[in-house]
Amino acid sequence: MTDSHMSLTGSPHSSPSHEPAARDAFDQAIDDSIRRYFMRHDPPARVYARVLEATRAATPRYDGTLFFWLIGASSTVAAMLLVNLVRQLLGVTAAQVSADTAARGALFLVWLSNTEFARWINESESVIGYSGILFLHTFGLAIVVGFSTAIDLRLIGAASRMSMTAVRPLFRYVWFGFFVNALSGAMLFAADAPRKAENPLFELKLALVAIGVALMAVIQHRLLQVESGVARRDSESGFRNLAIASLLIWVAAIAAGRLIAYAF
Amino acid sequence: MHAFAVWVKSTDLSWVVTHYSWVWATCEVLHFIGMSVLFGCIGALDLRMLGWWKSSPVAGVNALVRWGVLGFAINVVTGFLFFVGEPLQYVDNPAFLFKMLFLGLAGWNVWLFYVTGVADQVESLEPHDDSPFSAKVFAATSLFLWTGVIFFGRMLPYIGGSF
Repeated sequence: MTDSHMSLTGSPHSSPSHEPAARDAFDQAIDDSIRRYFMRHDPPARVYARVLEATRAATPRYDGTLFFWLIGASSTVAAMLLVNLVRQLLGVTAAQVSADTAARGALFLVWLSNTEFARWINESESVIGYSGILFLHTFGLAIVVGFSTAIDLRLIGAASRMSMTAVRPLFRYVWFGFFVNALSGAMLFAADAPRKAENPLFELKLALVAIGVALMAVIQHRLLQVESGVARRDSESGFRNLAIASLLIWVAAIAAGRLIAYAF
Repeated sequence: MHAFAVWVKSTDLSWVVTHYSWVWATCEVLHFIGMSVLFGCIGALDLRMLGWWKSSPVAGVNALVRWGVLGFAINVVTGFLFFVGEPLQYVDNPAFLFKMLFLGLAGWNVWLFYVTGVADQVESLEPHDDSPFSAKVFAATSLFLWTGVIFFGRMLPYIGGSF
């Protein structure tokens, strides 16, 4: 009994009474019976699931579909806003859009800013009213641009004791901040819809944010590709250009957003 | 305090800050950029120490702190210019006093972090290492205090009527 237990643990000195050849035969027999056992009996579902999970974790697979849609959608939004902005600056909007459409748009904005919710945002004296939403928007900005800056600085070459892909988990905080700001931004827009909509700086800011989101999505997509071995690691200069572009776009977006309060 | 504010208001620098509207607006933009850089670079180290992000050695994240200090420097300069421009709207503003209080506490937290040797303790942590409890307390305190600084900064126009 003790001997069989010892040979299972595989310690060569624990059973001196056996000849090496005999021990090999004994191990062989155990192996055979284990194999036969697993051929007849399926492993318990929980063990099976755990093995599958471990295998999946060991071989990272990356499917870029989500990023494909995110990059596509945000670039489209940015392009549309920029085209509209240029048309507005050249003064062709009035000629292109029928009076009917323009009037319906204006009506919608007035309706939006007069909903119960929008009026509450504007008139509430409480700290969760307009000022609280504005704080959330500033807090979200610090998270989005702050952690983007940390990622971009690493990709530009600062803090090179981290591996390039080590910053990738920070993206979940970038997207959390973006979610906070999309929500708080929509509320701030609702509270002041007609005036915001006619401000070209507001439209420029939205376009810049859309470009910033697209750039961050491209960066995360490429980092995930490097991590999963789809792309080679020697693309540092590509990452550097993307990171510089992202930093410049965020700075411009902050400037446009902040100046909304001053220029118009 | 009031007399001091009146004197600051009478300086040439104060005139420059308020006379050209673009000075104030530019400082606002820079103040928000500095805030983001500070919050992101310090926050990245805080999150690493809290264990919410572990794929980097702490020494690697530490190299971002100097950029956070750059953001802080930008905000000290621009914030100083705001104060010099309109001192009277800040000295009596409770939001301003709370912002300065949180700023002081955040500075104290940084000082303790280095003086108590916790900063040296975490410096050697490799990827996926857990940091000691004391480091987590410093990190959580830092995140709370900087968020408080942003909150009271944003409340300046709403609690005390600054702009």
